[in-house]
Amino acid sequence: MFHRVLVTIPTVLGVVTLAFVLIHVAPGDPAELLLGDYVGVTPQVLSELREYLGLGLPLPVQYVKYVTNVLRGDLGRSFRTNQSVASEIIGQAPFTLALAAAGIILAVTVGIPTGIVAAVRRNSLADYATTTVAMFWLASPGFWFGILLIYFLAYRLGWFPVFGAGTWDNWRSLLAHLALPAVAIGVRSAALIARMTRSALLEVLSQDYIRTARAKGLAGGAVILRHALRNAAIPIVTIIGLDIAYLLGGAVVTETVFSRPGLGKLVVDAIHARDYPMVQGAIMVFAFGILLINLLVDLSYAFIDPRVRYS
Amino acid sequence: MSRARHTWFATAVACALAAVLLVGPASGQATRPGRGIIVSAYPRDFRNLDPAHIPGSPDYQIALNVYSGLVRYKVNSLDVEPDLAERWRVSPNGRVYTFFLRKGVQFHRGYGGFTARDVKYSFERVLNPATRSRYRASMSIIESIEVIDDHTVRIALKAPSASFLAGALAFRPGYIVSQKAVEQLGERFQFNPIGTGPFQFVSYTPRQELVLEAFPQYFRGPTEVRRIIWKVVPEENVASLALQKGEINHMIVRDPQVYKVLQRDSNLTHTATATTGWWEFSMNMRRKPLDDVRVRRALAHAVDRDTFARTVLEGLGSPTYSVIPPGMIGHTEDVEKYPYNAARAKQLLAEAGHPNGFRINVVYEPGEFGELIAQAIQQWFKDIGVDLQLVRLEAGAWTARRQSGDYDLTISGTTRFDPDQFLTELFHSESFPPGGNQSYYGAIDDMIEAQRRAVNARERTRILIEIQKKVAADVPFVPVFNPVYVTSYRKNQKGHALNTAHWMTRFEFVKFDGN
Repeated sequence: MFHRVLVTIPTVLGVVTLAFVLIHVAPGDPAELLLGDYVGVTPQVLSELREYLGLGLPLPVQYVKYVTNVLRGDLGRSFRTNQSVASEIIGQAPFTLALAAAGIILAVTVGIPTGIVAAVRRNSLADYATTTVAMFWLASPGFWFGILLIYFLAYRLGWFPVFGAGTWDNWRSLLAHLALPAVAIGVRSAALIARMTRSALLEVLSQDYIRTARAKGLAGGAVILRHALRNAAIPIVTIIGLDIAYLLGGAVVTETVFSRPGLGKLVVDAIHARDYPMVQGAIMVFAFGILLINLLVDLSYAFIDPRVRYS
Repeated sequence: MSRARHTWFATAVACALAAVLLVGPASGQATRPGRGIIVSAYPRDFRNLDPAHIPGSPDYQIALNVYSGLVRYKVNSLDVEPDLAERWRVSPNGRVYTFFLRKGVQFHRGYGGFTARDVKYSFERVLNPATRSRYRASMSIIESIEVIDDHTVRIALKAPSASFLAGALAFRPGYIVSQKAVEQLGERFQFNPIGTGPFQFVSYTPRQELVLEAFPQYFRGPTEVRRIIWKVVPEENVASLALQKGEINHMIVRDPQVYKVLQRDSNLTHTATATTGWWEFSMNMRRKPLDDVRVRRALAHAVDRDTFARTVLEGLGSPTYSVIPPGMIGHTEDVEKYPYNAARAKQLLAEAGHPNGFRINVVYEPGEFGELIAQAIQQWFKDIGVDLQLVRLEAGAWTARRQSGDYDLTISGTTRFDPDQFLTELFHSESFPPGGNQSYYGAIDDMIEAQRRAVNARERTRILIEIQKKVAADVPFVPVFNPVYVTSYRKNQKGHALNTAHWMTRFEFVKFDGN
């Protein structure tokens, strides 16, 4: 177990290096982008700014400086806003985490029961209907779906606010603002989980021990939930784990459409502005998050299947 | 896995979820739009509200309502009127300005009274290289600043300057900051502005909102607007739904399609103002065949501005022809306009030795109107046999290409308040890339310098008209349209004053009629 945690350190370092290389290789001048719409800047002002941002140093020197600072716990300052990268990430993270959590809770509570119904009633109308709907959600662009939700549920019916994230001191406002984005981000995952639950269950349902359980006279529901679902759980949990990573990374579209603050938008804005410290810092945090989720998924295997042991 | 581990796992997951939902920044007071309360939306977040560093909109929108300068732009004009200076005197040689300041003006939040020392401090701060102000160049005409007494300040210029008042003092670097606030707040000053304007800063929540409230001791008296809340709403479509639903009551509209929809809503009113700027495409005169003026004229003749303005812009722009936009000193319509004429364009191409056209590229960033213009010129050029290849780049990649001069055509939109800004930044040979002279046009350096020195308005106008004719004849670039900025708001608001310089709302003029 300890070994698995240790492995994350070189992985994150690798990610940081890759992020550093990629963002520096990408064409673009952070100084010009920073100076914004005021074209009146002279080449001298540009070069002074580059110097100040530390871009005048050779790339390997910049890299060593960066990694040294990171090891000291200093992620640097954003080129764009001059604020500490760490504090900006900490300020934005709760919004993205809340969104991802709400999305995944919704996806699991809708996806798993739907998948079960589809598997148990295989080739029935219910099965075809869920498969069709799932395919539709998997294929529909999140941006378009988000706008539709806003238009009908927030604007026409007025059930939800049109934009924003609400305030942390007001539960009702927080949840009201979270509902539509959670649906927007969660339906795709629900569809994916339903598909995976269905196929995993179908495989298990054809096993001998299920027939045995039924032969013993166990009720249908108990067979499905205690015997079949438990044995089908590993692929389902794996896909949920992968999907949380997808939700964190893919939150940007939802955050943009619903005008929510969050990490996704933070990273995309930083990339557009060639805000090197912010891009690197955020990618590092994402890497940590995804490694953590993988670790939790692995741990859950042992919980689901007693035969799995980590030593 | 034992039962104990089972419970441990479930508890851990529950705690993680609870932590996610509970940990979060504290928030300010929630406020809904209404009488005296403006809730507005803008697509981008704030970056820096310090006058020495304002990067553009929306930061300028805030500074405009928080700060005062010695002078300010009049409503619907680029002329200046007294602001913190009650009056001023210019020496006969045009080099020394003496400003007599208003008495009893207070800075926000108890930062004390405004005096001549704040003027000296503010300007010297912009000029100090350590401040790294992007506006240092625009203030560098200043030679010295002398405090005569608490309410008199004398500024000496290195040379007479026609654009000193409107181009520098009324603009962003001319805002007066409180020395005490800058020093006490340090780095926090960036997001905690202290000025003498009609509204004072309340709070800023990154990527969400910025709140201002009326400043009770504002020297021109109380405003009807009591509170202003700017929301960050990246999608204009979404903001327009919020406006129609009443979640916000004010927004700046940039998307022609959104404007079209909002105009159908009977609860809304719109203020449209043409800006002193243009969207244009520049032709790289170092590249063949664009080094030939006949080719550039041919391309200019291919541009159908009228149809573009009517069918694509939906009223958010009007056709334009001159390097100096309407509304700015010296503007003239009496220039070669190259009206839309595909036959004439083809004839010019044939004369230049390209009867079968040629292939060139346009390198651009698709933001705002970039994509619309690129697609339009591709179509126009196709009609005269010129094959235009679209090289669409993301902002960062675009700056790299632009700086290296690696393009045939580029597209950009620019707004300025004084002709000297346009001319120096975009048409002086000192500004070849990485500067803003994307055409590599160097034929009017002398004239640019001459108009800058001409303090006599008539003399300056004469030179400016000459410049406009010369630029139109040489066609280093083709201006396509003047952007029209639109602000949409609920009908109960009156007095929106978006002047040419400030297409953003100055909320001190806004009144309410009903709720």
